Amino acid sequence: MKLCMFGLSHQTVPIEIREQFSFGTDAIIDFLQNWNQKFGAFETVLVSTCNRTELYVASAEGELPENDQILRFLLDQQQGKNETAGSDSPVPKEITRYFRILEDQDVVSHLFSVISSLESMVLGEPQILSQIKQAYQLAADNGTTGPITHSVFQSALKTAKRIAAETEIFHHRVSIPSVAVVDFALQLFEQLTTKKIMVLGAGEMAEETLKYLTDYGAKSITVINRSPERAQKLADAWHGAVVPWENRIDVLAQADVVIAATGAAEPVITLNDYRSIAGKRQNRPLFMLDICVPRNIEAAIGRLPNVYLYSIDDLAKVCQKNRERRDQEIPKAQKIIAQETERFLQEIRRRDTTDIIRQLRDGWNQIKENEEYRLFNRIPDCDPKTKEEIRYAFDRLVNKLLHPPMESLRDVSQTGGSGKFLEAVKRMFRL
Amino acid sequence: MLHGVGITCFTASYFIVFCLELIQRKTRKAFSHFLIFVISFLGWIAHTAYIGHHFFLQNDHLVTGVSGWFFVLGWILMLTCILLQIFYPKTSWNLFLLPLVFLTIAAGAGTKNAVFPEKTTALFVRAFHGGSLMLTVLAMFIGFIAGLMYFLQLYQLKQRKISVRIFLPSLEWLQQVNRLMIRFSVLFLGLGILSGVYISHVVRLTGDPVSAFSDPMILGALILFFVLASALLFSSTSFFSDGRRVALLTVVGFLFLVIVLLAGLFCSQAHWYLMSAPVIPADSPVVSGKPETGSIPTSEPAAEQRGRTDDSLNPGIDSQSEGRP
Repeated sequence: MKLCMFGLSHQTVPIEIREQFSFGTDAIIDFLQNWNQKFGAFETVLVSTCNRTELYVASAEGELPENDQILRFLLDQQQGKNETAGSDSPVPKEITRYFRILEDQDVVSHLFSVISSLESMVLGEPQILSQIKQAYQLAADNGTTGPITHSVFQSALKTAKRIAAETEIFHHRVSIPSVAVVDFALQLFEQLTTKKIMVLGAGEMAEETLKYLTDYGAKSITVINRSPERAQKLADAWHGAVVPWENRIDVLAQADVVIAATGAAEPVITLNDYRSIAGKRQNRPLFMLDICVPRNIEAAIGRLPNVYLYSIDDLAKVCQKNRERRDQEIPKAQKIIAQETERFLQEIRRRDTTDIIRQLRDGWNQIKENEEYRLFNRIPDCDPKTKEEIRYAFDRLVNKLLHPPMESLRDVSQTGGSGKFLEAVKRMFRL
Repeated sequence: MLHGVGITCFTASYFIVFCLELIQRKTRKAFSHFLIFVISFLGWIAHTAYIGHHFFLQNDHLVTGVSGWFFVLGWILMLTCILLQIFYPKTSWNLFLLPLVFLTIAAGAGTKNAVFPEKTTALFVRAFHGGSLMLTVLAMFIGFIAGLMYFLQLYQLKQRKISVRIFLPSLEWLQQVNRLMIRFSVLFLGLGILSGVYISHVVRLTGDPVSAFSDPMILGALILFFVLASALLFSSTSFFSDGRRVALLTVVGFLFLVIVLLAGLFCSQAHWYLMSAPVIPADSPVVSGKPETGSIPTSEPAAEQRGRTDDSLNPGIDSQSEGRP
């Protein structure tokens, strides 16, 4: 088995270079089809996300094409030169220096790390799993996968699942809106379907928070913004209503959740504003999210009973703690990756050695049968009991002769370093 | 085989579950979740076997016997805990409910087993009375725990420190459960008092002229009922915010539980018709079902024992009427 990976990622390569090697779905399909024409004998999967572009190439038997050939092909495809013949000019050094090239075992553990999000910009982000699944599916649909890529990508999926189950890498939320909604709002309210959401401001943060709120069932949304046009645009996107800025305190009397995300330089909801409508609220709890600097909601409101006010700092602290909790899980995940890599390699070695053992045994048995046949022809009046004894002796002889090489093959499949040894065995016994 | 199942069996299982629950707050392994569930379920099976053998098979005064009443209460509480684990697997129910289960087991083991007059009222009435009071305490237990969890959650939300180790339900849910359970508690207590008055009335008809309302247990229960009902009504007024409402109901619930446990432990003979009735300790062979010789009792001696129990425990309407002026 030969396996290699050519990749560039956010860890070492600036965005200007990464975006040059970014492939959309159509571009990946073109790439795979052209690959089939040029390197049809080799398996490949191309993974391209915002943060990384990685080309996995594998061969069940024999050597892979030269690295330079593969990089040249990648460069040509990226430049839109759909020449399956490809140019033979070497790839410029300023390009090759960005590429990380891994081989065999390193490729396996790298893929396992990538799919488990250990190499992601945000540790524990779940999108990478689906992106790799999608990349593999595209390759399979275009006929560029084979037994090696199938095995390694299946094992990668299994590893990601194991890491998700056995560590807390995917458990803790690390974005401000997700922490606000899941870690706080849903600890206050059982469900959001009947809750009235009031959004002050129509910026990105407001929209992002609304996305999470609606994901968890929020339906009744009122958008309030100084610019009615922007308010209307946001309300249309989330099936909400628009209320004029001046009426915000009246809406507050009815609201259960308030998201304040305006660019105002001073509080747009003061303690006095709240006190003026407190009676109308009839002691209903109020969840207030102030995700602006300077703050939009007077902090003193948060000290009132039944008001749960969170500022961006409160949420950022939780995000930071959650990030640290995820980081603490890295050693556990790495241990799992090491175990799964070893298990995968053992499986591959076992497959290789099983095949050689079978060939070896078949070959020697053939010799044994030929010799038995020859011997019994020479002594035709040999009685069945003697024949049986001779057969038994031949079997024992073959088994005893085969025992040491087979033990060595089994050891090799367990301990690794089998490549050259297997090659030597094949050559020695002409398998 | 069942006679070998003792209090230690299921109490030890529950204790292991409690310890595992504390440990797995740090590890959060799926396997430990499963292990906790299996051990708590096995403990509950042992608990079931214990109750079945010691109170159903050996004696037939399960609900009306105070000791058995506590064991069955603990058994239902544990069942509730197991069901909650199934429907709300993330929440740390064992941490909150198991201490109460231990309390009921301790109360059951430490209580003298007074029983009600069996010959004067139908089993249904006695079962209804005991069952209503049991549901009263069960609802109060759950309401009280929901109240405690509410304050823990409230503290976390106000301090902006949501624990990832102890997962709690939402504040809204806890408040609803707290209120609903206290309501149920008042309802069942009312039913328990009514059935208690009826039993007392029947006992009186059989020869004792004393009014049901002079019974200290009935009077005490009536006072508790009015206190609980008043607290519930009072908490519904707009004067109370959610937090204050839960606080009032939780404090009242706590006091109620303390009184009930103390009454169970020290005043189980407080019904006027039980005051002079003989008392059988919880660990006596009759109540615990353990034959004195240690061998498995055959059906005949058991029947004999039961007969003896009935005679001695039946209040002894005669002894009552003789004993009272």
